Amino acid sequence: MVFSSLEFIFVFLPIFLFVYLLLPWKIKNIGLFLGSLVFYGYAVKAQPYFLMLLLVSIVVNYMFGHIINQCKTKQVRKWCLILGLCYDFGWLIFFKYLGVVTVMPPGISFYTFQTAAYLMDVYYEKTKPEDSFLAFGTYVSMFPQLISGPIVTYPKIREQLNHRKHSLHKIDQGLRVFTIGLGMKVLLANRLSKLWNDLAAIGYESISTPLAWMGIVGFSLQIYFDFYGYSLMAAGVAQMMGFSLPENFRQPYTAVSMTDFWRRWHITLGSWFREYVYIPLGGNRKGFARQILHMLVVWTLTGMWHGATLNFLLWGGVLFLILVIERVGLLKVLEKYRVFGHAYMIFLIPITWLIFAITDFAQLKLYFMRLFPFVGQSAETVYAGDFIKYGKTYGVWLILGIICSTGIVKKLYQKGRNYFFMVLILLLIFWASVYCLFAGMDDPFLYFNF
Amino acid sequence: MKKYSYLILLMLTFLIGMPIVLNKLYGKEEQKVAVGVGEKTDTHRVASASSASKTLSVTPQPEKDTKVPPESETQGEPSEQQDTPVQTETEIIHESEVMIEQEQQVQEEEKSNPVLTQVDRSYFSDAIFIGDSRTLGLAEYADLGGADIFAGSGMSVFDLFDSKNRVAGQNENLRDMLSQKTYGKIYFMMGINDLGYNFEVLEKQYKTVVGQLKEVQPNAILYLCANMHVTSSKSGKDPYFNNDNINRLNGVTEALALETGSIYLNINQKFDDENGALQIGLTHDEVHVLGKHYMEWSDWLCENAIIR
Repeated sequence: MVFSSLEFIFVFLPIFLFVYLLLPWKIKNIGLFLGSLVFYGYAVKAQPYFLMLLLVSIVVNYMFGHIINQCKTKQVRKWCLILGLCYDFGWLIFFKYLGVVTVMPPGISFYTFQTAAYLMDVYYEKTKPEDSFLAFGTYVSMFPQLISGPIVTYPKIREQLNHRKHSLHKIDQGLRVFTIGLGMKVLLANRLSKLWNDLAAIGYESISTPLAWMGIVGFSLQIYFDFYGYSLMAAGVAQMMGFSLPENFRQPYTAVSMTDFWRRWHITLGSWFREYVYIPLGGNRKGFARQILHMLVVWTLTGMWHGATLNFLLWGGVLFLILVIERVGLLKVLEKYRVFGHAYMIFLIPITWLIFAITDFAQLKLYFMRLFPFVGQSAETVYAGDFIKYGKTYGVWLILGIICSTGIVKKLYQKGRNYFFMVLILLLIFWASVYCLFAGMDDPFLYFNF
Repeated sequence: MKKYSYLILLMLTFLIGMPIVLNKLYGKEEQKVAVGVGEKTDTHRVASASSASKTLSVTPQPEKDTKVPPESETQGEPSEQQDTPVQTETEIIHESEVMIEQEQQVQEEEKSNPVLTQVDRSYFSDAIFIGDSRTLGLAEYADLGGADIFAGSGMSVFDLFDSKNRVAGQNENLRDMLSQKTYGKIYFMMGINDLGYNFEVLEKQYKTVVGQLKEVQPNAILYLCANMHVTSSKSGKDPYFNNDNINRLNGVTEALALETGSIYLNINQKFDDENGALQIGLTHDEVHVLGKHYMEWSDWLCENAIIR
């Protein structure tokens, strides 16, 4: 069940919230855990064994957390951690990379990272294992962040699992955040996704250069609002239940460097790789050469996390190269001359997303040639006015998307949030989104395959 | 109160919106399929209707020379005519009657087996192409030799003559286009967007539109073009835009072409796979061919033209 669906907004969420908010505090987590299992069960109704897998993973990780904690010998403790991680990552590798099955359990990339982080946190004694199976099960399965993050590590949420406050104010705020996320997803991302689909339907060999550029700018905006919108919806729903989820996006398209970008984009994933891969390997504490090697490991794994096809490895590799170049000196220039930094990123962001977006290398090369026609290959028949046609259809959404990518809208919202007209605007966004869903303009969430 | 203003207003609007949405989600099946396809039991008829494999009416038949000069058929023993060079009045009238009859026969044979031939792009200079997004694709990615084009994504047979042309730079509606110019050829390819309607209603409207085209442009060669198939996978999962329905409509088109002396053209001969569906390699969205294939489509049209 996607958050941006009529079933979720008008059936599941109202029923769940009604029951959950009425439940006495002591059994709220039972309500949340069971509700999350119902949510996931509905999402995997075509493959019910995925629900079993989630439950088994909760049990196994709960047990391993305690086993690791109780191990007296360092060596045994280490092996218990390795065993636990093999279980977690084993399933992820099986479903995502071996190509044995065609359907992946929804959210496996996210909940695997959460459970693996939990075991490592217990091992490194950053946290005590959770005593309550119910609290642990709730942590892993809580539906706001189960399917598509943010990736919440256990220490960040432990306190809230056991002690959190509910209030009408939080519900109101949560609904506002949910509405903004819904609008981003349905009104912006879904609209812009049609541009990318249109280009693929024409065939990249038949698009003009201006249209090719319009396409990747559109894709960049699409993927941003798709994912950011979903993260906000998750945060909004969680807030209604008294949780405060970590921030996942911080105006990434206003970054002046790729280094800065990856501290603003999918923040919880970047944090995960830093905490559980980069720093344990040694980070930047073992000299320059080792640091570069650690970065290579992180970016290879980041690429792989996003997808099993080779273009994702290439994408990770390209990002690694850019980050190394910044690390050895370019970063200082970009931070000093911010206008240059913005221009640099405005160019690099769509180009790097291109590698992410196209899984077939021949098609990727073809698109690249359309972007830079002076590189070589001429196109097949190109409709000369194509960018005008698509500009008329999507121009408004592209411009709106660009404006919303800057910090302007957030600043406006912060300033105006207490005024009544802001409530009216939110209502408009909410019902406009619902109308679009009603009229059948819903699209599957881009990050759902992760 | 101000703190919860969004919550309160949203809940109030929910009271109105929720029943409507729930009705949409869980409303009765008939309401959902308000413009449903013809009865499901008709599918067995659809399957047996003309499919892309039928090539009658479009394949040039070089072996059979239908354009036989009438004289050679009426020639009895050549010696007789040589011996009697002067014909009597009765014989002349009889001969004329026979000639007229034979010409009618030839015309009828032409109707069912028109001879299609190769032309170049200039053939389309006095043509008009009327259609939906597939025709729009032809307009944008093919070479139609300066033909007029009236097309648009989603174009329907139900409001065709007053709809707006979606071809870039064109603003006229079809009614005006057809009344302002005399066309030598009309290429008409429509109907797929209307497969959600009751089939009999669609069939009736389709025939009405074709009748109107013939009335407004009686001297134009009317090419009634079959709707292109969708891929097998699209066909398998769409209740309306599937090849059974498309074939059913194409059957109507083909029969109508015979009836009205129009030419039936079926692009599926070119683009189909061995299962009678659109080849998967020719498309990305399962419904339209890639841009580069529209040029091949217009080449194919050049190979399947008739000259009167």
